[in-house]
Amino acid sequence: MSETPAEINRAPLLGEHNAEIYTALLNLSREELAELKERNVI
Amino acid sequence: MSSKAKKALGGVRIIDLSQVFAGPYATKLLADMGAEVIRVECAARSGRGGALPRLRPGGDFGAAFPNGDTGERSYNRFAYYNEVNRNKFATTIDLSKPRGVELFKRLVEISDVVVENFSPRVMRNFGLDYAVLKGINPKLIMISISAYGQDGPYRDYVSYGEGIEAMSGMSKLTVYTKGAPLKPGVAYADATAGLHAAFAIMAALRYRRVKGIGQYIDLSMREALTPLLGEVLMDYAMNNRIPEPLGNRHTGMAPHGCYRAKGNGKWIVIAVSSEEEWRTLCRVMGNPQWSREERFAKVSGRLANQDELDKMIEDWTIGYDNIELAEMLQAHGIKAGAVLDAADLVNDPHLKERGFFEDVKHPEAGTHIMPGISWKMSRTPGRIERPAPCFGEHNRYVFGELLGMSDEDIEELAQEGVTAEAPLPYTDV
Repeated sequence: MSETPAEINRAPLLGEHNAEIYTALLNLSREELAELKERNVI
Repeated sequence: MSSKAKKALGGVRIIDLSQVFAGPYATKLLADMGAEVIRVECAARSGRGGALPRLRPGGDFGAAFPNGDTGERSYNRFAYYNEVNRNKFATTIDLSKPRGVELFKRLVEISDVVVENFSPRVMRNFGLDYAVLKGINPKLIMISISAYGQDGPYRDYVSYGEGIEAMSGMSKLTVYTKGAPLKPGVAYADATAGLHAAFAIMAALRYRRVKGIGQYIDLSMREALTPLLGEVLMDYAMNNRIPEPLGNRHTGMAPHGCYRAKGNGKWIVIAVSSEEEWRTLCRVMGNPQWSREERFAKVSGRLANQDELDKMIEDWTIGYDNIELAEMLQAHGIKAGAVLDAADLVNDPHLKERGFFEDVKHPEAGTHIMPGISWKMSRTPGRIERPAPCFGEHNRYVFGELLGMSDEDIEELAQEGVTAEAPLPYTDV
């Protein structure tokens, strides 16, 4: 595409972006994140 | 010229210069979603099988016509064309004439997308490459679908789908464990190119909505197909390993194959992906003595003894109707599918219930079913609203209504041979 050529980034590691997505995008606290991890939800 | 049905792509106007299947398949998808697709065809290369289709030895036509009859205007009854070009409009313009080029440029001015799948030199020879068209309409999106792309050493290679399937690496994988590579039974490379093209156009339309500018898309059929070899290419890159052809088998599943069923030319495919599924299959088969042999107990043994395994399974499948057997296996959660032909599909109760096939009434070809829309959207489902256009059917609509030309001017175009009433007779072999 002349204006928007795409670029390729590697596939994510398993769960690599959990912290980023759930805290930065969904505003979960560190504690909530830890609890989800503890309960094997994420 | 549109109905009141809600359309996902209503208001998008596409000029379609494309021929045969790859480009027309892309514009079919867009037209089904409500884009106004205006085909620009010419008398010398109509893409409609020419005015006189070839008779094969034995007296039948290689192509499908209603009731096997070409009728007076075969080019309007050509099933290949009529299926993939439903929902579109058709004009004729001879782009080898300066007035044709001028007329085309006026169409570009009022359109959103131009689709073409000529060899790379053709649009440049017409003086209609993107640099020129962008000057007329900076918001224009143009896609060139070619076999190998607009640059690179193979750019001038010519090809149908078979050449692309071969050059993409796909053919080398579509081989029985012994034997020559096989072409797929459909225009697979063309269809994948068309799908990718439709997606690229949608991405460009989205970007244009945000930024207000168009862009050029150079799509190579080969580069649309090669990514389907993802893991195969990675294996070579990582391990220098080139996979052996598998035929109907799988690297990690057994049984995994295509087996004879009752009746001439009847087959069923079965894939067993876990030990639990294997035990279920054995139960459905009635736990025959052979299935209890140690060598078939685990997938490793079944993979190692696949010739014997497949023979035993086929001895069982051959006693059943393929559709009934698939139903029976599915009832037990086994991944089985009958190998269907056109008659099976048209009469398929599932497709009937989902309303997949639609009746399409064509003024010269009659009323026939066609495969409908491949997905069901809750608000803007799309449908086959109009049959494929007859040759030049919408010259008056496009040149008169859309471009505002007078009847005299339109008549003059016809007199000068810029537009045409009928394609020229077949010229190729």
